[in-house]
Amino acid sequence: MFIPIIKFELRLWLKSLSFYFYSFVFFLAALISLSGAAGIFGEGSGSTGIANSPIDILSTAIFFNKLFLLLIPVIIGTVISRDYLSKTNRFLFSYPVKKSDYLSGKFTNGFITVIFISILVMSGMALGLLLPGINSDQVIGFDLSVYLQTFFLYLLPNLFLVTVIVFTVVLRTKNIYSGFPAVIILLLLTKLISGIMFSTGFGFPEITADPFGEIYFENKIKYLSASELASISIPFGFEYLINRIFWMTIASLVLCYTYKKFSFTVTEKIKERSFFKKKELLSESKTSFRSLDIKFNYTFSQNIRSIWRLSQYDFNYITRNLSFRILALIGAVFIAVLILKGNTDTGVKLLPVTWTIMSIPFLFYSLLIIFLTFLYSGLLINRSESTGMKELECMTPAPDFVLYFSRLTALIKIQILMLLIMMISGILIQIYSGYYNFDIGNYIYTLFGIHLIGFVIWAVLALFIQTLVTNSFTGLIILVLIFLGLDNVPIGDAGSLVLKFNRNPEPDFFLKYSEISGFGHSVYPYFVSKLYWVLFCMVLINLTIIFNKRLKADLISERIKNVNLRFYGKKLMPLTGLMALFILSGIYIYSEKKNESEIILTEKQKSEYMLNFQNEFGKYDSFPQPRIVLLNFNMDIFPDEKSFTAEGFYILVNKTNYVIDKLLLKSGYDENTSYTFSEGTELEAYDSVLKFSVYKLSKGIEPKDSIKLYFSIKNISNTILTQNSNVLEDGTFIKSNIFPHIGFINLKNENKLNPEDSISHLNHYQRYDSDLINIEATVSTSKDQIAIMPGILMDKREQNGRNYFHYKSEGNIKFVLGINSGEFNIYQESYKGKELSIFYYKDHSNNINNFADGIKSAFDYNTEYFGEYQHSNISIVEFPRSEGSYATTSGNTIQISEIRFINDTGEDGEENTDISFYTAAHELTHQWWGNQIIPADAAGALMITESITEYITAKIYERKFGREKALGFLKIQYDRYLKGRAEEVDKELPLMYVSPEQTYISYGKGSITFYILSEYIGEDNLNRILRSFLEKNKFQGPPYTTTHEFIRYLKEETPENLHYLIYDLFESSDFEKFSEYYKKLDGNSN
Amino acid sequence: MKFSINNLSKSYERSHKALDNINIEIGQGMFGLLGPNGAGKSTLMRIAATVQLPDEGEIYFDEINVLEDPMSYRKLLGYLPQEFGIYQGMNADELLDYFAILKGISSSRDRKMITDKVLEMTNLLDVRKMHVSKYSGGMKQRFGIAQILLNDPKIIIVDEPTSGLDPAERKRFLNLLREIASTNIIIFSTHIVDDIKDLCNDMAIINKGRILKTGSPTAAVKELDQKIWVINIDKNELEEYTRLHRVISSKFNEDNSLSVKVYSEEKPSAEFIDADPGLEDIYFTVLETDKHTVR
Repeated sequence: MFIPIIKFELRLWLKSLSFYFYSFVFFLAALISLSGAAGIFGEGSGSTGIANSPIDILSTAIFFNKLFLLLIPVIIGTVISRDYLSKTNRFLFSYPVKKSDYLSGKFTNGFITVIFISILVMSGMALGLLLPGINSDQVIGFDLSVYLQTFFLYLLPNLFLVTVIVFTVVLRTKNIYSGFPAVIILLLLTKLISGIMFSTGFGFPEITADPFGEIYFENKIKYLSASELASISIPFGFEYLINRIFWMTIASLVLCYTYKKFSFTVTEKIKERSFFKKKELLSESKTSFRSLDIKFNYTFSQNIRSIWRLSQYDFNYITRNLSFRILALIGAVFIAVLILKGNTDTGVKLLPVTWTIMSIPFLFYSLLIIFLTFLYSGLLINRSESTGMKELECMTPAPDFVLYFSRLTALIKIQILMLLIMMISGILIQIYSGYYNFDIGNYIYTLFGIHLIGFVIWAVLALFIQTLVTNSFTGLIILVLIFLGLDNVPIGDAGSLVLKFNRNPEPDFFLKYSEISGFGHSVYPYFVSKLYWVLFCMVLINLTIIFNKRLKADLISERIKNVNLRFYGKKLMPLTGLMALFILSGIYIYSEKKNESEIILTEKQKSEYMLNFQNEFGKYDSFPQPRIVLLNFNMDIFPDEKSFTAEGFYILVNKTNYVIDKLLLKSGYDENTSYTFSEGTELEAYDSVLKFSVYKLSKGIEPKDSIKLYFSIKNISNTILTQNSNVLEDGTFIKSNIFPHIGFINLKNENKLNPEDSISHLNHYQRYDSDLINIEATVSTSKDQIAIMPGILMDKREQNGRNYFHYKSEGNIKFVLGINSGEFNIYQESYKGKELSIFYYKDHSNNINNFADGIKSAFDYNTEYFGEYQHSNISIVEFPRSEGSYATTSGNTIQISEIRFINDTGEDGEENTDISFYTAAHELTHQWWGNQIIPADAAGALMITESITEYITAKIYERKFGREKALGFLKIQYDRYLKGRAEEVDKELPLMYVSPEQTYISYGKGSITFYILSEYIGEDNLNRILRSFLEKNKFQGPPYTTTHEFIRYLKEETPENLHYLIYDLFESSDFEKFSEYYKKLDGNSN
Repeated sequence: MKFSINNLSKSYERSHKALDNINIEIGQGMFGLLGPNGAGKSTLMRIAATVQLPDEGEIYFDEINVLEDPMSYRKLLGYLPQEFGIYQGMNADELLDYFAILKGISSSRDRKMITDKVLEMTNLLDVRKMHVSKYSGGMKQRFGIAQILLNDPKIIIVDEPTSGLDPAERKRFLNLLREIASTNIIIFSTHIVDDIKDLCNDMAIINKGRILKTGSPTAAVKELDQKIWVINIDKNELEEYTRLHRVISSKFNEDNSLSVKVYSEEKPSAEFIDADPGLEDIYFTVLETDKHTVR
């Protein structure tokens, strides 16, 4: 009986259209993902650079393993539902079919189908590399054993486990859809395990507890660099073997359990109640039915009320479902785990302010909501058909739109419920964390005001797709494919705004929320885009109603006829109108966006453009240019209009030995800048995209001579889609890039020249058009705001309802400017003759003392070892996190992101890093290392600024909190180094040649390097060497110093027998050796 | 009150006509649609209930053009399909409330009142809190009637309501229908002749998508007066008799001989005895005649 059942079942599959659909889609997806990684669409994207390296094959297989989590419930559901849905179970169970035959037949059939599609996936992966157009550099020879290992060691056991679980759940619950919640729960539990256990690494128990074996895999490849990844084979070892045995045993036990518990007895027991027989059906005495005064009402308002009432029934149907409840509960638990664990992942813990509570779990949670929407839309649409109640519903006088909107409303209610669960979980977590500043308004505005509409738009699409297709499974798969596929469509900014369904204009827009400036301008493009998709949804709604499945239609031709009948009705007019409106607004938005964003859209176009530019303008590259020595300007900031204007001048001095007759100017991208000169000039050439102009001076500038360059700057006006200025309603942070640059556009990568090359010594690492300059400015802002910039506040006045601030730099400073404006609270303190001010947002007072401590400790340490602080005061200014999460120094001001103002320093004894203290200490240390000593525009520049600063910060940290905390701090740096190293695409450079983007070296490895050195030669000795290096080079102009000079210095000052150490640490990039040094360091603490 | 179907046709595949040019006119009272399984009864009933569309034809209920204005018609319609399922996990109260909303009863007080009433009429008050999907066959059919009654329909269409009911249930069910029929049109289909006999003042016999006979059952029976003849034969003789006569039915007697009824304008031969025609004879005569009609 077993074989016939399988044959019968397989034949059913071969006849089913959906089977071919799933097979085709999975095969195609596998084909595309590998051929894409091998560069068929241009750039390849393999993690190792080799598309079919064993690790890439395995990673792709693991990705498909996730997709299978979705497909298995579909397959198992279909296999089992063939009996239950068609009610054949009642007959079948009375046949002489043995239980074992029936169950194993069903299971084998489902599993064979799963295996078949997974083999298709593996062959798709192999065949994808044979397609024409792939980049042969990114492909290595075909190796069957890699595919076999991947399939048998990873894919197959996982598929077996999931199939068993889904099979069990579906049989036990007798609900063919229950496989979906089951796999989601399984997935979440897996993530929960790794989430709870995530600390520094994964040990044996974690590896064993992971049902999919991914932790083992990730563990094996975690800190490997690209080239190392490309060369290793499929990871397999004892730990993994145990994991597989463990889980296969569990799967087999579950299967046995299912077998034992399964019974052929049809459970739909029908009980006849005894009272039925005793009573007469009709008693004459009863009042006539017509005497009731029942009002029938078919008005529009009644229809609206009906929609609401009916949706309640659909809503109850979903929420009474056990699997929904479990999912909601797990969702809430997951939120808690994500927030409580995710928050401390980096060793830095944030206060549970409302936006962190929402943003940490949001991605996960919105995926959950969208998935539930996809799933339940199908169930609601097909429910009356699948239960057989359709004809009863169909013949009622309820209009089609009532039935449609009752379902849409039910889905929206589900979404609202899920968001409410998120909000309540969030508040509970805040209470648990002892944070009572509940911002209910923000919760409601963010979740329901902003994000709900995005979910509703998905619900409309889901109902549409589920209406078109005949079964919910196919609908679900199509919807998921649409959702995933959107990410991978390569179209430009403007195109994706109008073509990618329901895509947010800025994908990480949620991450930009600031307690200072709110969502800022990003809500405008967001709502424009959502309104646009709502228009589309109105078209979809009309189509969904037209295509509804209300009338009986057994054949497709019959269905089309039903649709036609509705189509030619009066609905055609509004539909065409809506469609036209949608297309027109799409064209409008597209052209607006296209006008605003530069002509340059893709990386390729960009490099083509730069090549053209180089051809046309390259000849100016070598023209000598004057340097800025003085900047004077007046700036007006208008927070309400989010705009600013600035007028001022540079004094440019010819520091070269040549007469300068051409002036090369580059103005800010987002600003309109006009120039006037103290001398006669003529515009010789101009590039409107790069805003680069070449002026011919009628009278050349003689060596040592100077001219004045006047400029007038205004930001390009903001539009509803784009904000062009940096001005915010509160918390504005304007940087020096708004001011004109002198000289040719620097096409070479900055700070990459060889430090031994003397050309590199001519410019410092941050600007090539100035050395130290004098800055004087008056900045005005609205009357409730304060404007802060580097320098001494000379004067402050109120005029015409605005505040004016006049600043002048103390001596000459690096031309790196930060201009801030906001409604600040001010903390002030005098410390050893220096004025410390902290300008902060009113709710962010928690860390003020930590900042002040950081400044004071750094002040003490640095003045003790490295000499005087060059300014009379220091100001810390908070800026919104929408502008970044970093901290920076310009002159005597330190700009620190909001995110470091909401640091949770925790109770004493907690392991949290005091990020506020650290930030303040780090930035103040830059006054010596970065502002006093300024390295040349050469490779390794950041070793002098960042590595030394991080090392000093570690020492300050150590002095304040003890060695153990300092080592904890270095541990974070070490992890940063390991992570960065693994992500590095180029080869790792030695510290002394570090390039600017390699922060894992300059900060991570660099801080440890100096710390190790201090262990060998002593802190005092190292600091003495650093000081003499500093003293020699501080406040200098060109030639600027380099790491080359520093290493020479270092070697002179250290005994010869330690030079190997300097070589290992600074001049070589030997990872093994460095790790050994680091580990010895760690050992000292034990 | 008049319900008329004109020139109605419906085919599922090109070759197979489920309904072929149907014309019926139905007045107040109970109308029975009699036909064997697969005759097209359910298709006709579904089209009359606006849950399926015909290929051609028109349907009128008084002034309402049913196919063009189904909503006005549905307000006056009650329909019970041959087979129906019920949302799981909902009791009779909830479901009737659900249907009452769909049928346009606006106030929840009214819905409560009518629900109570129809539950009382169908004798389901005691099981109102029980999940309807767990009802027995008879209870479920009565629930079907209950949902019909919600909107006080002027025209009620019930498709094979008695199939699957035991004789006692069937009798009660038909009584319930008769009670409701006093002021309405009830169209009900069946393949059981007895259902029609006692209840209907009008009927039609349908086979292979065509109406073979219409009229009141009494008049039809009268038409067959002196035309149905019966004879007892040996079962081996049946073949010969079928060849010679228009045999409309046969049944075994207790002595294992066969009692055969034939249709004939005149007494076929002396052995035949004149039989009192019944509705069943009409049904079989019509089907037998149809067999010989060349289309």
